[in-house]
Amino acid sequence: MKNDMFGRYFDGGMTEKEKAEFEKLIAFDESVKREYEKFAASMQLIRSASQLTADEAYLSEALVRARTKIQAKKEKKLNFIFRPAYSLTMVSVMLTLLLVYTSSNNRIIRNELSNSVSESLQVENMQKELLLSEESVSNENLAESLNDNDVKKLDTEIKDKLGIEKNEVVIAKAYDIDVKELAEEVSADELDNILEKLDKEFEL
Amino acid sequence: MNIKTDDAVLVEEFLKGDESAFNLIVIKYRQRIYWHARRMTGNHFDADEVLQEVLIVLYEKLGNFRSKSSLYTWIYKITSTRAINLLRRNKVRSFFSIDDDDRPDIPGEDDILGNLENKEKLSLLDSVLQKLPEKQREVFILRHFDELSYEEIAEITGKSVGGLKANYFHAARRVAELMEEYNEK
Repeated sequence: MKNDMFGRYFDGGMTEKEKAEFEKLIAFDESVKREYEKFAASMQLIRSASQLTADEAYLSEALVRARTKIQAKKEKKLNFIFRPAYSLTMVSVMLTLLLVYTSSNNRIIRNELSNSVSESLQVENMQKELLLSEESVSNENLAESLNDNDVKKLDTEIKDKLGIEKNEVVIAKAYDIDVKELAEEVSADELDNILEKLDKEFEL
Repeated sequence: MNIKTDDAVLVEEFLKGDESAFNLIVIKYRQRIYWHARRMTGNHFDADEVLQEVLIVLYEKLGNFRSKSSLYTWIYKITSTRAINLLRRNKVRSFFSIDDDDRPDIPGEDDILGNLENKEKLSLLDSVLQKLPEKQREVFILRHFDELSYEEIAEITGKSVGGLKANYFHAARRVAELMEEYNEK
C-alpha cells in the first residue's frame, strides 16, 4: 500500500489533495520519508541504467541488413507473382499461335481445295471446249476428210436405210449445206419426204 | 538543408515511392526500437532479431498506418508485439530444449555499448527487468524509460488506463525491492 503511494507520488499520479497529504506524511514520519527516498533512489538508478545509446554504426548496419531482407522478400514475392503469370502468358501465346496456325492452315487447305476444284472445272471446261472445237472441226472438215469411196459408201447406206436416191441432200444436211438451195433441184413432195425420214432416222 | 522531421510527411513521401523517407523514419526511431526490444528481451541478440523484424514490418505495413494515431506509438506497438512473440518462442524452444545455434553474424554487445560502465548498468537493468512478468515489464518500460503517457500506453497495449497504472505500481514496487537486494550485495 505504502509502495503504491510511493509509486503514484514518484510517477506524478496523485491528485493535488493526495499529493499534499503524502507530503505532510513524509514531513512528519522520518521512517516513511527514508523509505520513500530509498524507493526514489532505486527508481532513479534503474532509469539512469537505461540511459544508454547503441552505437550508430551498428544501427546503420542493422538497417542495411533489414533492407537486404526486404529486397529478398520483394524478389521472392515478384517471383511468386510473375512465375505463374509468365507461365500463363506463355501458354496463352502458344494457344494463340496454335489457333492462328490451325486457322491459316484451314484457310490454305480451303484455298487449295477451291483452287483444285476450280482447276478441275477449268480443265473440264477446257476439255469440253476442246471436244466442242474438235466436233466443230470434225463437222467442218468432214467433207474434206471424206474421199470418193466414203461418199459412195455413205450414199449406199442412205439409200438402203432411207430408200432415197438424192444423196446430196443427206450430205448437204450432214455438211450443214442450205437445204433451200437443194430444194430447187428436187420437188417439194420429195423434199418433205426426205426431211421427214431424216428427222425420224437421225433426229435432226 | 531541409531536414524532414514530420512523421506524416515522411510516411506520405515513402508511400509515394521515396525510399529515402523510410531511411529517415528508421534513423529517427532506431534507438528507441532497439532499446525497447533490448529491455523487453534482456539480451542483444534477441533485441537485434526484434529490430530486424520491426524494420521489415514497418516497411511492409507503413501503407496501413493511419495518421490519426502517432507513428511512434504505432512503432512501439509493433516492437512490443514482436518482442513478446519472441519471448514466447524462446520459452517454447527452452521447454523443448531446442538450441538455437544459428545466431546471425552481427556485431556483439561489446561493439555496441562501448565502455565497461555501460555494460555494468545494462547487466543490472537486464537482471531486474527480466524478473518482472511480461505485461508488467512492458508497462514499466514504456512508462518509466520511454516516459509515455498512460493514454499512449493504452493505445499500444490495448489495456485500460486504470489497469496500466496498477501494473506500473506493482512493477515499481518489485523493481524497488530488487534494487534493494542489488545494493545489499
